Amino acid sequence: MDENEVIQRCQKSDLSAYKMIYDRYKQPLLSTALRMLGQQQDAEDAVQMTFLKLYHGIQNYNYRAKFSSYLFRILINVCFDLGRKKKRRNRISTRLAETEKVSVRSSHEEKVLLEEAIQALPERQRACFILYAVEELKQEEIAEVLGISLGGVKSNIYHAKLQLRAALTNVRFQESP
Amino acid sequence: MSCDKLKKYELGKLGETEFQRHLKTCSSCQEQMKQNARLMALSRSLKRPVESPHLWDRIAKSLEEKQQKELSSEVARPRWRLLRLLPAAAVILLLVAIGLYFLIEPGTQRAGLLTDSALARVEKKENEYVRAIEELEQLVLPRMANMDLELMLLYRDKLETIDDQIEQCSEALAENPANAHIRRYMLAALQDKKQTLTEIWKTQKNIQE
Repeated sequence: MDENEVIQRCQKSDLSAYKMIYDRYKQPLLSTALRMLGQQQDAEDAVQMTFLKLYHGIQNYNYRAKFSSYLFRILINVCFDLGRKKKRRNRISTRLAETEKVSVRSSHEEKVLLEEAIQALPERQRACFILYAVEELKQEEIAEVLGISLGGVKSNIYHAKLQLRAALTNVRFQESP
Repeated sequence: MSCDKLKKYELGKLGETEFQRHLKTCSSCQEQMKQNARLMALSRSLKRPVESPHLWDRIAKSLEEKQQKELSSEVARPRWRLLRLLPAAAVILLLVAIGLYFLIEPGTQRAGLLTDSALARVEKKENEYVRAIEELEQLVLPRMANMDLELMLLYRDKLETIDDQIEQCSEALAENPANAHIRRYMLAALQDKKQTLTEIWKTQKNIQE
């Protein structure tokens, strides 16, 4: 079925149409949310909230923007919101364990370190980098999703890469005796 | 040795052809490009999320609940909407109150200043109170996971707003610890938080019973 038809059915509150949207986008939505938030459970909560917000807002969808950009924009905003709340909860309960930065010997550990480094990026840099490097969106699409300029996207991606490269280079440096 | 050509290229300030020509002779850019390629490859190989088989069921359930609420009585709606505005109204009131306080003449402010010994007592009690609320929070927050999603979001927003108030008061008190007025706002926010956590606790207790 044509995506616009599915959206029209969503606008008439047809839940089976929402299921079609879910089946089509669940993988990139979950993947992006996982990268943004770091935890599977949080990622699932984010996707659930995204659909609730979609349900609330779909009457205002005007077909001018790409639907995928519209959907990702909702998800990213939900992730920003959840991420801030999570950060606050962590700060209040001070449960953040001091993680020892040991030398990394395997590719698996390198990936873990990269995931941690992604989590440590400022939220907008993180969103730009994930959409670009993991979900492989074009920079113009990222600008549409985040509602920022193309220059802003380029700058965020550049600075994210710079920080992540530094994190990985540091690992290799620690590897050498 | 570092070179800023890659930066210019990535920020769109240097054209593709020019950069490719430069790249052939610049070892610094070659090394950075190599690291970029490694970073991108590693990013794409990060673990993919596992799709929970029940995720759609959860989403469908919350959408159905939403639909049913929309169909149900129109009478309750205005109250819900007003309730949603409460946190924003509280923040505005707090900001207005703090603003008004700082507009008052310095002479009248003295009445609101605490002496050193009184301040020490207040701080001690306040710290105990904050710790007790934190303990309550530790007990209550995990229970929120079982709540109706909309109600949970509402309570989360409310707690978030109260935490913002507490944070603003803490910042103001860090600059002026003897200000009794701000301490009263702080106490009001803490009491509000305690009451909210208690409400959540009771709501969940009723559901379990």
